[in-house]
Parts: sequence; C-alpha cells; structure tokens
Amino acid sequence: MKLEKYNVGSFFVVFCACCSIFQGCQKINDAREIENIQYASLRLEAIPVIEEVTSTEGLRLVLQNFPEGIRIERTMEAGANYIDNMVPGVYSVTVSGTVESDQGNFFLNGSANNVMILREHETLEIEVDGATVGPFAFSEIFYSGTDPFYFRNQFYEITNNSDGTAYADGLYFARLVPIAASTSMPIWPEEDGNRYVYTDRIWRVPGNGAQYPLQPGESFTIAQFAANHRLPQYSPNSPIDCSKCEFEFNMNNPNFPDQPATDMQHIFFNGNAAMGSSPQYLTSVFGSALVIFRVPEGETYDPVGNPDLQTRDLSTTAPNLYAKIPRSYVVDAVEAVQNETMGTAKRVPTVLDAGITYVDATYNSLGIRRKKLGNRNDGSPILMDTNNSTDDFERKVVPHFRYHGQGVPDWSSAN
Amino acid sequence: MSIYQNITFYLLALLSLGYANSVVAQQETVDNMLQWEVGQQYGNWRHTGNAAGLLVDRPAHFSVLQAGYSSQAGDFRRPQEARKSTQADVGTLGNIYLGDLYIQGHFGYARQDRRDAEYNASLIDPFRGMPYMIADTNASHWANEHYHLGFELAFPLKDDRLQLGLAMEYRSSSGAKQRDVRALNRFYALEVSPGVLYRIAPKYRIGVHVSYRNHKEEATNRSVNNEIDQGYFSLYGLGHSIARLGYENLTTTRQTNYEADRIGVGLQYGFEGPWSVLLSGNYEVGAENVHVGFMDTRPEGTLLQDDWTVTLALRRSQEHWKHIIDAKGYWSNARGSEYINEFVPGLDSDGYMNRYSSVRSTYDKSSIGASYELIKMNGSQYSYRAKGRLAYGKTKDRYLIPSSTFAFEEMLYGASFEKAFSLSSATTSLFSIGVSVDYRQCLNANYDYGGALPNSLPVADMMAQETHYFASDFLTIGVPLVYSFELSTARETSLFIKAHGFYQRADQTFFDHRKGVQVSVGATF
Repeated sequence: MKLEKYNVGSFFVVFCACCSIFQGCQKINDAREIENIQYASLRLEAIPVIEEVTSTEGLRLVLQNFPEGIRIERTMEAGANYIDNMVPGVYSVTVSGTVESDQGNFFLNGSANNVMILREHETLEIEVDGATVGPFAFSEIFYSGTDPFYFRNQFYEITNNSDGTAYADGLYFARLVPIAASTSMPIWPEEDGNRYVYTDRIWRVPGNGAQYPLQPGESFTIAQFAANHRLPQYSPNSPIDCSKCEFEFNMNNPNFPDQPATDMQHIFFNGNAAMGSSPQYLTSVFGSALVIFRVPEGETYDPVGNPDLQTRDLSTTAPNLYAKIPRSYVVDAVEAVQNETMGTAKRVPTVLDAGITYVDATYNSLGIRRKKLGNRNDGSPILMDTNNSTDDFERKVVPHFRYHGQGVPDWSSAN
Repeated sequence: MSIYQNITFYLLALLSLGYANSVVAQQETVDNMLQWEVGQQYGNWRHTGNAAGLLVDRPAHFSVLQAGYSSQAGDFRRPQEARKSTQADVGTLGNIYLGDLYIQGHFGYARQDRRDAEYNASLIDPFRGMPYMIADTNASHWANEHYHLGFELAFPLKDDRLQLGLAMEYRSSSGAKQRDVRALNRFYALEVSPGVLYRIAPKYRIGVHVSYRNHKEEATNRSVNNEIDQGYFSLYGLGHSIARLGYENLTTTRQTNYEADRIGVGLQYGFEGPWSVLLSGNYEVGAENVHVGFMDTRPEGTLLQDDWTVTLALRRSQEHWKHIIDAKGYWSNARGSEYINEFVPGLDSDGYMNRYSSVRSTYDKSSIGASYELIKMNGSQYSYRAKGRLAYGKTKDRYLIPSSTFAFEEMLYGASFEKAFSLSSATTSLFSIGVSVDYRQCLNANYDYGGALPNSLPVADMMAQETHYFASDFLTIGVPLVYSFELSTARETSLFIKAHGFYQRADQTFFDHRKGVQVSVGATF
C-alpha cells in the first residue's frame, strides 16, 4: 500500500517536471533566436522623369524615421548615393530641389513613403518629377476644435499662390480615407495602380467659372459652420469667428442652421449626390488628409454617374462606396496626422505631399499655417509650397485668417 | 468554478488544516509569533524552492491567521512608485502532517491604493522588469487587488533515502487606474515546482528541483473623457519611446497582452553537523511576449531573461544560541527585442506581419551580499536577536542603437536589534521591540541618452527622476514591535499585534523623505 502511494506520487512529480520543461521551451527558444540589432545601409538612386534633366546632383535628400524622431539630411551626389549607419526602421524618403539644365531650371520632387530599411545593402530607386505647384494652396487649416469638445469652428483657408488671377469656381474639396491617420489602411482595386486618391465625400465651389476670381496673394475660407463661434451658444473659448468666411459646408442641420456664407456644392457621398444623414461635415479633429482639385479643361468628372470612379474598400465587406480622384487633378494636398510618430500612416501619395503636419492634440484650439517665402512687388505674400507639409507648414499656431496679409477678394463677404 | 469559489474553497481548506492541526498535533507546535519568526528564519530548505526538502527543517506545527494595514508616503520615490500608498490585507498559512505526508499551504488577499504614481498605464507592478509599457504623464491613482494561494507537499520518505516534493503557487491580481488614460488590468501567474531530495549519507543530502511558471497580464486602456484625447507614450526602455495620441485605439480601447513562460532548475547540497550547511544554486530562464490588441495582434516586444542565484546558508543551534549566516550572489541578464511590423490589409490578411526583429536593449544586474544573525533563545522564542548585513549591487542597462546607457553601483549596510520581554512570569504575554538601521550608498549612477528625442518627457523627466533616485544615498530607520499573548494554553493559541514603522531620509536635493507604518493583528494556533 505504501509502495503504491509512493509510485503514484513519483509519477505525478515526474509528470509535472516533464510538463514544466516542455511547456516553457518554445517561447524561450524563439526569443533566443533573435539577434542583436545592427546598423542598416541604403543605396539610393533618384531617376529623373523629365527628359531635359540628366542628373539629380545637388538635390536635397531627406530620410525620416518618424516614430523614433530620426532625420537624415544629405545633398545628393551624381548617380547612386549610399547612406550607412542607419537605425533599422520605417522611413519616409524625399528627394527635392532645383536643378539647372540648358532648358532652364526645374523644381523636382520625388519621394517614397513607409520604406523599410532594415538590413545592410538595401536599395531604393525614386522617380523625381517636376512638382505640381499651385495656383491654389491651403494656407491655413484649423481642424482640432476647442475644449470642451467643440469642433464646429473648423475652417480651411485657400490662397492664390500664383502670379496670375485664378478662379475658385469649380474647385473641388475632399478629405481622403481613412478620415484619421491609421496604420490599418484600406485596400483599393489593384487595377487602379497609382492613378487615384480616394474620398468618402466631395464638395465643389459653386460659380459660373468667373464668379470668384482671386488675384495673386488673395485668399478665401471654407468653414464647417460659418457662424461666430465665440457666441455663448457655441464656444466662447473659440479662437476664431467664422461668420465672415466666404463658404461653408451646409449639411442642413436645423440645430446649426444655414449661415450667410455661400454654401459649397455637394457632389458625392456613398455613390450619390445626396448628402446623407450626417449632421455636419467634420474632418477629423486628429487631422485629415485634405485635397483640393480641379478637372482639366476638356475632361469630365462625374463620380456619381460614372461607376468607374467608384469603389469599395476591399479590405472589408462594408458596402460603402468611395469616389476616386485622379491624382493628376490634385492642385494641393495636405496630410495632417495625430502627431509626428504617425508619419508611418500617411494617406496622401508622397508625390502630392511628401510630409506630414500635426498639432499634437485634439481640441487645443491650435492649427497649422503655411510658411511665407516672401512678398511680391505689390506686397502680397508668396507662400512656401514644396509639396512637403512637414517643411511647408508651421504647426500648433493660433488660428488667424489671412495671417500673412493675404488680400480679400472683391466678392468676399469679409469686405 | 469561478476564481472566487476557488479562493473560498482554498481558504476553508487551509483553515481546516489549521483546525485539524490543533486537534491531531502530536509534535512541536508554534506557540506564538516570536517563535514562528525564528522558525521561519532558521529553516534552511524552505527557502530553496525544493519542497522535497521541507522536512529537513523539521517544521513545527503552525497555523497563522492575520489581517493588516499599511501605509507609506513621501516624495523619495521612483517616478512610477506611488507618492502615497495604503494596503489592507488578510492572510493565512498553516501546515499538517498527514501520516508520513507533509503539506503546508497559504492564502492571502491584499487591496492596495496607490496615489500619484506616474508614467505607468499598463502594468500592475511597473517594477517587475518589463520595459515595454504604456506611460502617460498624469499622476494617477491605482486600485489593485492581489490574491495568492499555494501549497507545498513533501511525499513520504522512500528507503530512508529518497523524498519527492511538489510546490504549486497561484497568484491573481487586478488593477485599475482611475484617471485618463485609464487602465484595467488582470494578471495571473501559475507556478509548479516538483523536486527530489536524496540522502547520500546520514548527514549529507543533495536535492534538485525544476520549476515552470506561466503568467499573463492583460491591460486594457481607454479614456472616459474623449473631449480631450490624452497623449501617451509607448516605452521601449531607457527613455526610448514613441509619443502617441488618443486615437489609434485609445478612445475605443487598447489592449496590451503580456504572456510569459519561465522554467528553472535548482540544485542543493546539504550537510547536517554541528553546523547545518546548505549550498544551493538556481537557474531560471523566461521569455515574455508583449502583443498589442486582440484583433490584428501586433507584436510589440519580447523580454528574455536569465537569472542565476547561488546561496550559502549556515545554521548552528545551541542550547541558548542560534547562529544564522547567509551569503547570496545573484546575476541576471535580460535582452529586450523589438519588432518592426507591417499592416497587411485585406479580408484574408492576418493583419500585422513581422518584418524585422532584433535585440535592442539589454539589462544586466548583479549583487552579492551576506548577513549574520545571532539569536539568544529563551525557551522556544528569542530573548533578543542582532543582525548585521552587507550587500553590493550593480546594474548596467543598455539601449544598443541608438546607444543609451543607465548604470549604477550601490553598497547596502544594515544592522538591527530586537529584544523580547516577558510581561508575565509564565511567558504567556510577550513584547518585543527593536530598531533597524539601513544605509544605502551610491557608488556611481549615470544615465546617457543617445536617441533623437532628448527633450521627450520619458527622457527629460521620467529617466531624470529615476537617475536621481538611484544616485541618492539614503538612510532608513525602522522600528519593529510585536506583542503576543497566549489565549488558550490547552489549544496553544496566541493572539498577536505586530507593527513596523520606518523613516527614510534621502541625501539628495531632489528628494526629501519617505515614511510608513504597517500594523497587523492575528493569531497563531
């Protein structure tokens, strides 16, 4: 009897010992196989797309690892460029600047986003093309809202940054999806290639084509809700009064009724021209990716009537329809994200905006503002537009209409 | 069966053990708290982790039931430590001989309130060596609950030489951070440790045991106030961090899962002569994986840790004196691995794919120390006891690329004295009072950050505070008190009240002091 009890005990102890050893081993072995980090290196070559440009020597090369705050800046040499001693990670790579040739000077821009540079001898080729600049550019954007929880004072100021008269009539406005930056990106149809960006809703500046002219350096503003937000019934802490904004996104919400500003024309939502039931047009208080675009003369753009300009997000089973916007239509794009570390979640193709901008918080009453390069002879401001919002924008500024002294168009309600 | 039913079952079982003990005990029985403390200290094998060796210590019958309350406060603290904390606890432990089978068990419950702790929104215990965690900048209030229960079993001796043992331990904790960014945590740990003891000769024994421990901690973060999205940091060790803002899960909730396996082996060699000698060595290795999210799980980091411990314990018992000498060496090496992942969207996708993994940080610790305690016995309890201790510790943590280091060396000196008084001629009422003085001397403390974000709060504030703490010399003065009186001679039952107060004074301009008190009442029976 005693021997039997002992054997049972022995068996139980040995069984526990065996289980102990085998159970713990797998996770430990996996961890043991991981090796110490080593520096990575990159061989980068910039390929000019413009025939007249044969060398990219002298262009500025910027590599940014947003999460770790690493920025590497170099001047490009002719041919292949080698960068070593890089911390392995995900980088945004931008090549930009002006090159001189017999045919004149060319401002070139090319970039690649979310490039994994993990080991030694990684290679990357980037096409650099003549950058699309103007005539319109976002000059100030306020999206974060005001504490507590007030987001109706969002606005988007757009400036004519060209040297000639430009008409706002027919200028489209959209936010790209996902509405707030996320590493969980949608899947778009493979056959689209790199031709489009995608949005859930499109607006357009009304007009007959010559109704809303802007002289060089003049600007207009589109408000989410063009009211005086400092009124007690709204948000007395609001940094701005939007009642003089030229346009607004009126969603026919009786609680926030139509204001005197001209209504933007609604074009597309979920495959229809109707607005749907949303009570306001809110771009993310964390920062959205915004584009303004214009349809070239001779072309038609009808995302409601043309199913080829619609698609679903193929990463889900949701039936929501999104509109395709040809990249070649885009006049200006700005990528706003939560904070610097979200640079790995860009939605805007780097050829349109190679950077990111941010205000680091929500409801902090701070916005972003394009920097000024200089002034024209008439004193109107020339704004910085290198298609890189990291460089082009000041971050966390107190919102202010026409901060750089932009002119007010004759037709503006602000006069 | 729910965890609470389990706990109730174990509590009742342990109380039953205590009752059974008092009924059937034929051997020596612990009469009071003073005697029990000496027994706990003097026992050699009970500290090895090999349950097969428990009977070598010839444990007396004991059952202890106690409830306590403790509080401490002060600005001399590490940044993740609470400025003020309180704890209420209840615990019981006991043993019993069932024929030639020996079993001892314990159960305990504690509730903690920790106020104004910083830079932690994902771990109930931020000091358990895990570098991958969420940190916010709000000084927060944590409410934590801890349960632990376990038993140790020594099987009957076979052929007067071989003995098997088994120890099992279960721990469960929950924690809740009471301010945005909020955290709701659940933790469990299960450890099983079978062992064997072999008597080579009448005075010589060798033992070996293995252990397996599995633990999991699940932290769910969310913000109640979604009007202002809080900023927070993902920490990766030595101040390296990624700043994040409320979206990307926090407003909806973010889960961080910590899962660990740990195995170990221990060897013991014992000699019983005029001096009882026990030399033991333990090796443990464990890996803990950190994942973010339940859906589209993203690997965040892995900590692989090796620990070696060597202990030499010498005991000598004379008619009126006991001598206790302990020497211990400890070496630990941990390697923190980080992952670079890519999210692959799509209905058939597994979500995040790991593209690169590497060891980015290492954590080396070592310490050696020794102590000597002299106990003057008065019957079965002490008349007085005096103890001196000395220890040296060294830590060197490195973040490999970009290079950062955190290192310190320290010396610890300590001495204590306790005197027991009999308040009645029959020693049915005992009172003990003592004093302990410990001094920690910093030999070297240095932090160098080589990353790209030297102005980020985890570097400029959290690690700066941490460095100041470890660069501080400090003096700790403690006063232990015990009052015990016999309730029933027939049932060998005593009640006791224990108290311990301490005052800690830092020799540093950045800190002042810390003080605390612990009080418990209970019974031995």
